[in-house]
Amino acid sequence: MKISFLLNGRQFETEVSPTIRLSDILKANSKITSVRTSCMKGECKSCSVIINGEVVPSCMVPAFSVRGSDIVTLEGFSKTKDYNDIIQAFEETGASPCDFCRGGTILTIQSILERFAEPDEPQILDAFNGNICPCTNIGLIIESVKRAALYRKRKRIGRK
Amino acid sequence: MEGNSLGRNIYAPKSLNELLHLREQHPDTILWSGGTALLRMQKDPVPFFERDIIHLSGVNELKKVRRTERYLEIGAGVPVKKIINVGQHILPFALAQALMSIGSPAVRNLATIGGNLGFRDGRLNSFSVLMLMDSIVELRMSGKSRWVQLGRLNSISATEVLTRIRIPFRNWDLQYFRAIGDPLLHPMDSLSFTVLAETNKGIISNLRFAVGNIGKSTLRSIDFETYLSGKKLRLSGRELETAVNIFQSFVQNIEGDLTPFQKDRSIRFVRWFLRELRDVYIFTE
Repeated sequence: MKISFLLNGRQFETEVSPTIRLSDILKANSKITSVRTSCMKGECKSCSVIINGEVVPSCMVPAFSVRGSDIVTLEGFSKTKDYNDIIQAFEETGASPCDFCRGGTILTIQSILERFAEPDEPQILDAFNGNICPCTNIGLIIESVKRAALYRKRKRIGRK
Repeated sequence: MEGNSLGRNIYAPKSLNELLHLREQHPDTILWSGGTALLRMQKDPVPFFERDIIHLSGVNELKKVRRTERYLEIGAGVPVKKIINVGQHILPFALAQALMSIGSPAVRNLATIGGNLGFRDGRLNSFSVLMLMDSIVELRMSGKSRWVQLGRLNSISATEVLTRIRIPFRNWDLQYFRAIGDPLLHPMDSLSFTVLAETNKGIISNLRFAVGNIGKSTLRSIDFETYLSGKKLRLSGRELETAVNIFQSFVQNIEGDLTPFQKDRSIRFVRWFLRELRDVYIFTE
């Protein structure tokens, strides 16, 4: 089955079995290195991508359902201003997710910041529910999310 | 329609009429809404399905949320996240809790209410809450439509499609939902508890209690509900023990539906809940 979709702003076309997972399509693409797979149950977030503006686990998305979609991976998201807020927060708090979970962590933070202007700890923990990566202290991640939210708030106020 | 190497077909209807027509022609197809439950249960690296698939994402009629003075009406294809975002003043508290217990926020972007209710192999988190709320569902087939109580969803025929869920607004001033375990991956160890009640001047009226996430059934003890309805808060120690005993004998006499673990946990939950109710009152606000 031939499917095509926008991948990080560029048209992407491939011939695959329609029930293959999106995560496997992306992993086969040499330009995408941020998508990893682990649990294959939509819990660990290492395969997170943004589809039509929503952060979803790509292992839970079959190929047939993404025809015509707009898909953004960490490679595409890293070219946005929103990405810089999160990285700046990481640098200030000392949070440093490993390469395996980096993409999922950053996109999960982005999804939190899109939903909540000032996320509290339970909201952040709920979003990270199921994340099994032991490499980064969750306390630092929580602090990073709060800082990134603060940067965005300052930007919003600055714009006004 | 697209074929594939496995000989399966993927249908992608663009309207409800087209969907109903397709369903009539191909009753033995998988209706694919969010697909999260179906994919979670897949063990193969490349998911394999034995039947053709109808992909519902193009059917906009299934994605609408409507609110009137009497009820909230949700299309079967509405993602769980969108329902949660309807707002705490509209969405009943227990239903919001049940929906929040489905996967992670990223999974809730994909999962739909119709998929949660219509999952063929078991009743998932939102079912018992919506059933206790007297929700009704619309089942449609080509040229016909009927509304049935959610509890009678089993009567759905092969050519019918679950299209809408209607939740009546009632003043449930006592609402509680809790789920343990994963009903998809560990059905023998999972459970959900839902309690709804109306109170009037400190007297419980119309209490409803269900144990869910236990395979294809949902358990209610009418004796337990009847005993507690009409009781004044706070419950006396004797009333609490009697209520626990009624529920315990109900659970012990059930054959087949509950594992010993699930029986033990449900009795513990009832005891805990009634103690909480006696001591602090669990209200929605």
